[in-house]
Order: sequence, then structure tokens, then C-alpha cells
Amino acid sequence: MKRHLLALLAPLALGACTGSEVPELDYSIGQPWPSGRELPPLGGGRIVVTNSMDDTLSLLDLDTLGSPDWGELARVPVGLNPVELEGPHHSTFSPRGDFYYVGLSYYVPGAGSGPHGNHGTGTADGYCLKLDAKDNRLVGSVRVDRNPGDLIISADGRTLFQTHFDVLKIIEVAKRGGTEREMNARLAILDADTMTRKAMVEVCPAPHAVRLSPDEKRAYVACISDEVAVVQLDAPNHPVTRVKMPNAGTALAPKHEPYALTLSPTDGALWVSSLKSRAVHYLDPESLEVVPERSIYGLRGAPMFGVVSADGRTLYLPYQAVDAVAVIDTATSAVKGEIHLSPAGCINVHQVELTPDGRHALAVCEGDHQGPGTLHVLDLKAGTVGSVVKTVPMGIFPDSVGILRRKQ
Amino acid sequence: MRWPWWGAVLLVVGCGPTPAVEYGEELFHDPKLSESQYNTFSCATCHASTATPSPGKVYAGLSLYNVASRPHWWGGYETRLLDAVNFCYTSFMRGLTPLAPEDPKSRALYEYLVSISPDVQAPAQPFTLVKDITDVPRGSAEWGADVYEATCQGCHGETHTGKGRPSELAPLLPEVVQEYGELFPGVAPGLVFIEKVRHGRFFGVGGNMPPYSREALSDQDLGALLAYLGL
Repeated sequence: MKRHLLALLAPLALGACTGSEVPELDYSIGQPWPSGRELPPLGGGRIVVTNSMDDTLSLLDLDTLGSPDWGELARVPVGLNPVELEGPHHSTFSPRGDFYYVGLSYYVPGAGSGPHGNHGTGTADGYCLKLDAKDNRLVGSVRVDRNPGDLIISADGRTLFQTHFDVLKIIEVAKRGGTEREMNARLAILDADTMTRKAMVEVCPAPHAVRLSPDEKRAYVACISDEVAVVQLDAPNHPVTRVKMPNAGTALAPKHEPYALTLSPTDGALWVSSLKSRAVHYLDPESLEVVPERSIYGLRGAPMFGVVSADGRTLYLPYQAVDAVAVIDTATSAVKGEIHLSPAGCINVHQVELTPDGRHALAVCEGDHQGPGTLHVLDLKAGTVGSVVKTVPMGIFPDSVGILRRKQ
Repeated sequence: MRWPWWGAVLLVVGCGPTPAVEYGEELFHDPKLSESQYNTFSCATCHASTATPSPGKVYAGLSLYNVASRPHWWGGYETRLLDAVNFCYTSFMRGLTPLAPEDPKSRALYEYLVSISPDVQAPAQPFTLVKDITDVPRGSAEWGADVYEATCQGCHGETHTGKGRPSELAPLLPEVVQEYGELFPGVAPGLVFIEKVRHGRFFGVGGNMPPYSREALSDQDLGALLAYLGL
């Protein structure tokens, strides 16, 4: 009888100790999975540069800008996948300074090849990533169309706008004899909280830069087809009208190639930077017409993403080839002077951003796309055109600079 | 009275807490770490845990000896160990939801990884992915047989039959190349095979095979393997 009882209890005891459930565990480490090096608090802001050909972000502290040893605070990897290069392209920032957003373009020429094809050629759908500003960790993502281009956020931080610079689509449609309309790519309108699509609006062939009017009722989109698409955001289905540049060509044979946009924060005036013609057309926000006499011609290289001072009086417009920043009086469109970046090591300037106090500008240069690019700090002393006071090496092919900070 | 008493003691004492490090070691070697019914991989499928290479075995992943002491993983593209683990977990082990830091399995695994990391600090390990696929010189088929046994057999089983493979989801070698002609007309099957080995599931290849970096498998070994498989 006793033996029978033991025979009954023993399997019960063993069964309770094994099985597929996780056993009761005795831990010897209180805090598992250390989080690694922590960055200092955000403070007055953090400069973020997307290094598009090595899948990293360069982070720099805004508060200590000007200190002798100022440089990268950290360079952090970004993307969904540590194996393949994913081409982070442009970033934008929550006005509360708690999150930031990065586009993955999957355009990284030379990223790999094999029987499955050449990779990084923009044939895969892109993503918009949401990252926590505290630790740069991915907290959400949404798949968009292929070849994401520019990425911006609404003033309340709730809506993202992402273009798709799908030049490949133009080529593919042309090869099969399709129409220009079939070459249109879409503007993704995304919910920044849930990271879901709110709308995908067909805009134009290879849209790149996107900017919002000050009242955020319109999105302006630079289209490679010598147009600016104007998306009416406050109307159902977001109707699109297109404003042609003067003497416009077509998507297949553009005369200008609009690529970048710069918007005045005071009156909403828009400058349209074109790669091919090197013209910077002035688009009147009231009439939605190009005003030739206020446009800027004769730059010796392709104009890129500029910035207008908070008082609306000065446009800082970077342009390539010479690699300089043209300092322009917005009232007259006259070039007051230039800040030359190439002596400081800049190759292929891509964007200029102002610090919140307006005393410095930050110019990011792509480099030769093989080695490191650069970030330059420009001192904009009152009464002077400005000069380069600091140069910091970045990752490979940096293509955007912005500032993460608390605005609300 | 004695027998029931001992029985009760057995019930109570026999179920004391398990040291997490022991359970972590068990999980390291057990596909049940992943909740997927289709998973047959454990951490030990792709990783050794010793400082020196195991004779007769070539792993796709680097040894995890000192893994918890490294500054970063995956060639610098993962800066948190749990993220590096979770990348394997979701990419190769079919895990749907990444392991949470406080999950008991996750904590136990961490304790085991710490136990095989005796140094306070250890250098990051190189991870050189072969991005562009090119042909490699063929080596000795005899040598290639050893390479097959050390690298492929654990998942694919014996050649032609698949005998011993843990899952039928792993295709038969080298018979799988018969499909390559239709999928990649005009491309030498050997080149497709090289891409599968070097890119694993990435670069649009698909599946859940891990890639073999240069550190894991040399071109010489790969060339011998191809010769053995007649590719």
C-alpha cells in the first residue's frame, strides 16, 4: 500500500517540476539586459543627421555647440535590419521632442548583388520609422511606397508627410510606353501616433521635397516634371493642382528638375530649387504663380534645401558644385554674399538649417558618397555674411540635418 | 506513516526554484525558446558557447563566448544585446513577438549568456557580409564532404535523403538546385547556391536560413562544398 502511494506521488512530484511551462526561477541578476550607453538629456536640442549610405544617424548636442571639442555625441545605427543597408533618408521631429521619424528609402547603390538582383536600387517598398528620442529605439514603423524622399511633420506633431522620389517609376513607365500620369508617385499622409496611413495621395512624377503652408492647409511638393504639386489638405480627398515652372518640360525631358523647397515662416513664400536649370523659382503663395523677377538665377551649381530666417528677411540657400551658401535678401532676391564651404572640406552641400536662436547655421554636405560627409557650423554674426567656424565628419552620404527639441 | 511523509516532502522540496542560469542553458539548446510550432532552431543551432572552435562543426553565427561583454553586435548595427538576440529570434527562429526584457525565458537566457561571458569587457566581433555574389574557385570534394557535415548537415540532413534533418522545411541538398533553372534561367546553379549561403534569408532571398559571413565560412571552404555537391 505504502509503495503504491509513493508510486502515485513520485510522478506527480516530477510532473510538477518538469513539463512545458516555465519553472519557478531563481534569478541571480536583478537587472537583465542592460540598455547600454545612455546619452545625456535632450537639453536645448539635439542635431540629427541621416547618413544614408551607412545606415546611421549622427547625433550632436546643440547646447554645447561652440565648445572647442564639439563633435558627434553618438553615431547610432538605424533601420529594421542589421544585415542589409536600408538607406535612411531625411528625418523630422516631434514638436514635444519625444520622438523623431526617419524614412528608409532602400536606395543604396552598391548595397549588394547576386542572382536575386541588385539591391538598394529602390525597387523595395520604403518605410517611415518612429524612434524614441530618449534612447533612439524603434517604437513603430509604417510601410510606404518605394523610394521615400522627403519627410516632414505637422506643427501639432500628429501627421507626417512623406514623398516618394520614384525616378525608377518614370523609367519603367517610359520603357513600356505608358503615359506621364502613370509615372505619378504618391504623397503618404501618416498618423504619427499610430504609425498608420491616413491617405496616399497621387501627386506627380518623382515628388521629392514637401513643405506645408503656414496655416497647414496646403502641402507643396517639388516634382521632377517641372512642377510644384499643391495638395489641398483641408478638402476631402486632398485634391491636387499643379503649378508649372516657366518653360516647363516633361517628366521624361524636364528643363528644370525641381527637387528642393524652402518656405518662408512669415509669409509662406516658396522657393523652388531645381537641379538641372539651377534656378530657384519664387512661388507666390497667394496667386500660386511663379514670379520671375523674384526668382534667383545664375547660381553656379544645383540649389538644394535652404532655410529662411525667423524674421523672413534672409534666405540661406546652399548650392552644389561651388559648395557655398548664398545669403539672399528675400525682399529683393539679391544675393548679399556667399559663405564658401569647400575650403572647409564640403563636397555636395545638401541642406542648411538654422539653430533656434538664429545665430548659427548648420550645413550638411554629402561628401563623395564613398567616404565620410561633413557637417559645418556657420557663424551668422549680425552685420556679416557669415563664416564656417566648425567642421565635423559625418557618416557616408549624409543627406539631411535637423534639430530635435521641445517646442511645446 | 513514513512513506506518505516522504512523498509529501518530494512534492514540496522537489519543486524548488530552478536556477535561472540552468534554465537559460536549457533554452539555449532548445527550439522551445520560440513559440512557433514550425521552429526547429535553437541558439545552439547557429552558435557555439566556447572560446575555442568546436572540432567538426562550423556555425553560421559567431561563438557567444563573452557575448554579454561586447560593446555591440551584428557588425555594430545592434547596440543592445536583447535587440541582437531578438533579431535572431524573429528572423531565424520564427518568433512572432520579440522577447521582452522581463519575460522569464528572456531573463533566464540572459543569465546563461552572462555565465559564458567571463570577461568584464570583450571586443566586438567582426561580421563581414559578402554583399556582392561572385563565383569561387572549386576545391577538393573530399574536403567539401567534411564542410557539408560541419555546416549544412545539421539543418539539411544527409545529402540526397535529408536523413536526420530536424525539419522537412529545410530542402534536400543538392536536389534543391533543380529548381534554380526555372527560377534563375541562365544563371549557374552554383552562383545561386553561393548567394543562399552568403545572404541567407536576406537581400530578397527569403526563407529563414542565416547568412554565413566571411568569418564563419571561408571562400575556400565554400568552394570545396560546391565541389562536393557537384555545383
